[in-house]
Amino acid sequence: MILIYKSIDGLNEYEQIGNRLPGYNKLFEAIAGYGLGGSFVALFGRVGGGIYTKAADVGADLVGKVEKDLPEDSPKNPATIADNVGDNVGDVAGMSADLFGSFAESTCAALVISSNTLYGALSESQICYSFLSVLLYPLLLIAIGILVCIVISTFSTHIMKVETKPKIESTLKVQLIGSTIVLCGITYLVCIFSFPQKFYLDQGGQHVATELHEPWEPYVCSILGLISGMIIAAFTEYVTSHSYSPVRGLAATCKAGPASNVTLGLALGYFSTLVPSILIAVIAFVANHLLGYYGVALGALGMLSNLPLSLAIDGYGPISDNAGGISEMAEMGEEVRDRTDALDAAGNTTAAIGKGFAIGSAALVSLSLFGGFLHNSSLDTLDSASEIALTKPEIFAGLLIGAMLPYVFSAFTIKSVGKAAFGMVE
Amino acid sequence: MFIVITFLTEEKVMTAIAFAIGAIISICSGSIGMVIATQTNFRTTYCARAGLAPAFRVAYRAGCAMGFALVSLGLLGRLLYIKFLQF
Repeated sequence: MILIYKSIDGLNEYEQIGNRLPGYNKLFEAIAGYGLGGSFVALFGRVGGGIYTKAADVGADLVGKVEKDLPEDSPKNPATIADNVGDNVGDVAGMSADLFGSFAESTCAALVISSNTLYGALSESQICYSFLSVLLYPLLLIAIGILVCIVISTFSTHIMKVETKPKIESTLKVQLIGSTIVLCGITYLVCIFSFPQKFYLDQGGQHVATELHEPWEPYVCSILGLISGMIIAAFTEYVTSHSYSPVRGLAATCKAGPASNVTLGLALGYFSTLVPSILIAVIAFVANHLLGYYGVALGALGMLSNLPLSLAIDGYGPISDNAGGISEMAEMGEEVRDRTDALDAAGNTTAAIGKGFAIGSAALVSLSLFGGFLHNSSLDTLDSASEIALTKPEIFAGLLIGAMLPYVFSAFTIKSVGKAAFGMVE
Repeated sequence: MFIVITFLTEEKVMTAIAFAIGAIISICSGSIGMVIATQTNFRTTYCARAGLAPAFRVAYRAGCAMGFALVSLGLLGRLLYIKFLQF
């Protein structure tokens, strides 16, 4: 809490200093190293931690369930400890490093691009340099996001009482949806507050900007990211949660043996790429039309603006998983194990949601960083940029959708193979 | 990496320091998360004896602490560095 207040305080103090910019683009270029550091550690955390987690998990299951016929997390199986440690390393440390990487990259991308391209407009013809409060809009958005998330998170811990098992998932859902709705409103205030009435974006390398922008445009970009983050989370939950038809149908086919589980599960996983890819393509397209690469960076930022809550929901998963393991190892009885299992089932779903957030925003950030590079190296003034280029919004959106299509098609074909095989068994 | 960045970027040491700060904060937030997780998972088990509601509350609060620590540390680190560079 103290840290949060400090950061907010620092931000407020900072805005009062904000005047004309002397070389802010250099400052923000130095800041870009921050994002690189975050994603550098995320690489090691995700890969090293992830491999350790999965290896420990598979090893424990192989020894326990396949060879010795022990139940999950049995105290007789020494590999259980490694499994539980692996949950901490991979799902907590690895995941937070990963999301931190996305978060640092997206803010850095927005800062770097805006420092080079954003100009305030005093009047129709007069261009002034941008004020610092405009440039710090990404940080302000994240800071406001923290405040909103504090308020929303008290709902689940103090107001909503989780007494029955179905209420666990609904509480977590209320958290995400509530924070998204509140942030939708507050982001508009932040935009009005930090952007001038009219501003220019220096696109295409011309130093005299031609197009006037208004504060609603960054608002729309951020909101698009925010809402699509929620939709991605909802779709991920639909695909992975045990209370909806996909997982229930998958469980029903397991009666015929493990083979149909593998094929249909793979099909379900392939199918789940459908909605996130389309959403990311739509954001990339719309945001790029409105504000260029800055808009794309804002979209990624909007997706991460309720990051504290999505991280909380994420971190809750491995904790309840380990709680289940401890209750089994300490032989605390059926009832306790039953409760922790209910918590854990909800936690597995939420872990998938966090991955959707991290990957979706990373895709957007990569596009905006690419655009920022093109602008800084003034490659975008060349004629080749007017032909087929990866950075054009429609081409990037088409690429994403095209990359998604084979997965969805193979999902349908694998699914029908699995269904036919299941019918033969029956 | 630190040396490579120092020699290859325009802002030299400044970018490299930002890189180091980013990496350190990322590692810190990861280890804060791990400490919180190890301290809370047995509490969750203990609370699960009393019922579902307290167990959920403990687990979710731990998640919150983790999330807020990470985001606010990230924001704070960057702000301090921007402020430092301004001088």
